[in-house]
Amino acid sequence: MTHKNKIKDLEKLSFKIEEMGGSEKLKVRKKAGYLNARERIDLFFDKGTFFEIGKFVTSSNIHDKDKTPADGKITGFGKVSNRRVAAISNDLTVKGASSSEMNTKKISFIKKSAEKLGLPIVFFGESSGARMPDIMGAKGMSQAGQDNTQYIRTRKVPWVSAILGPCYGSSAWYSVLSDFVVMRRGSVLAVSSPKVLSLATNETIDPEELGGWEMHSQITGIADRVVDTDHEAISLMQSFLSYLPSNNNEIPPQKKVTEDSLKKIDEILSIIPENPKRTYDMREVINLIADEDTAFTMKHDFAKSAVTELARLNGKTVGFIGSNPKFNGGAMDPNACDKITSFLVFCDSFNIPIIILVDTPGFLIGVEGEKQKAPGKIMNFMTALQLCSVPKISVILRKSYGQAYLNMGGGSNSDLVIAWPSAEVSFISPELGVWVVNNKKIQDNDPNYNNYLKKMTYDNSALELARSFGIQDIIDPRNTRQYLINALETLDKKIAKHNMSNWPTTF
Amino acid sequence: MKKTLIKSDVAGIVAEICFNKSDFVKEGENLIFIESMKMEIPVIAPFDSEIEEIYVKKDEVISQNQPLLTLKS
Repeated sequence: MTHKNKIKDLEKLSFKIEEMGGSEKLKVRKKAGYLNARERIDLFFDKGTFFEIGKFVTSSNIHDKDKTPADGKITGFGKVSNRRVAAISNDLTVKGASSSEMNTKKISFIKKSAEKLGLPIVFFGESSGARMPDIMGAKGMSQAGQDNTQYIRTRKVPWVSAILGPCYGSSAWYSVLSDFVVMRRGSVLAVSSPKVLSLATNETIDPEELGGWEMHSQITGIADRVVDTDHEAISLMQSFLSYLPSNNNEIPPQKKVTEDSLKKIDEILSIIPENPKRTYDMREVINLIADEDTAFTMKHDFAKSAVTELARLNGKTVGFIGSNPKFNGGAMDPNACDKITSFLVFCDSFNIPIIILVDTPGFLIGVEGEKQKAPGKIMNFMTALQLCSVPKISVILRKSYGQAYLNMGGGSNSDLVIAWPSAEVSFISPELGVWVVNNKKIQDNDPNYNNYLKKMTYDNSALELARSFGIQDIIDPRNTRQYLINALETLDKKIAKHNMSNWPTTF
Repeated sequence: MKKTLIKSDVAGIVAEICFNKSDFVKEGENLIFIESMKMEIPVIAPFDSEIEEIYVKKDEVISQNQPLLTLKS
């Protein structure tokens, strides 16, 4: 055979591999409006930059040689906005993108290469779990688990996942190990499929109920964002990466700042109600402080009494953490603690300075919270905060009470703590203090009540806090943006210590 | 027609009920204010809907997870 004929054969085979599980299966997907595994790669990467790794790999089971193009997982490297990124795209049309001996090797190669090269990894998740019958029996199982680093997440490089269909096994594992997860409505993420459950436990269950978008955006918090199409998911993945360095030894890329970013901060006074009992949306405050249109919300619909958002300040990436008075008055529950803890770990791992915006009456206390291990969650949050070595600045907008005062960066838990004139800081309210110490409520009509109350009422103002150096400055709210820009210039330590790089991704 | 039961996320006192039974509400509107933890915490309409039933009264002491109202959408 001549060289030319050999090359022709190779081209033919290559073309066949690109047809994936065959035109019929691809047509069905197209009709449903879903991109296929290769279209996702094409859309995600800058045009013409993707080069594939392991294209000619097939199943190690010789009977499946012709039925397993790329063995159901397409892997390689490409560029996004001219920065290199590694990708793993599950091809559901090939044996349900089930995990096999060979495609596990491909994933392992990509992950190890990406870490060595310092490149982010994206996962287009859509997989059915372990491949059967390959995995069956003792011999099958003996082939599993050959990579003893497979599920270690050390946050050396960012991981980004999209849940774009059924995600059981492999795609479920890599999604929960990721820094950012976007989920398309109609997709499902769970340990096992409803079909497995129906026989294993006799439980008949609707896939949406088992692991649909409502479950993962609102209850588990695994999905940061929910979208309706593959296109939207891919656009969010690209956008997320634009805030991040390629690896933990770099600082995040800097972007240009629009002129409008400088003007809008003046609106800040109109957002904050003068009645301290009334609420507002902390996300609006972040929008005014940050560069225009740069706020990127993490865990959008989960534990809404806390806000975690990436954004840019004078073109540089920052992580905003806030209590949000709009939800539960900003009283944070155990889920809110988890949300903030994971964001602290993430920002610290990728050299992103943290700005904490505080307006909280304290942690949400009660039986429900205790059942969810509130003390442990509050301490996880506190541990993560104290282990953070990126710059931290805390701004007290209004209320900061009790233990939450410390969790939100009070005292020496931030590099700088500043306050607005509207700040009020104390342990608990004077009325509650009288109840705890003197065992009296106002309704008891005790003649000494006012005396007790007077003894519990201390100056809780920003000025008193500044006078005793509990904060470093009091600022006009309209100067917040410029103050933070200046402060970060001074505090920036560039590369953090990454003391939490192997903190679990779900806890 | 979908019926959604709205429960209180917090224990507290009903400070204000902003609508009446059978009123139509828009997503994001404040339905009820609950005074708790030094704040008047709004219960927010999760979507456009009609108020089918209200189970609490002004000044009533309520517990966490107590049903507040049912929405019809």
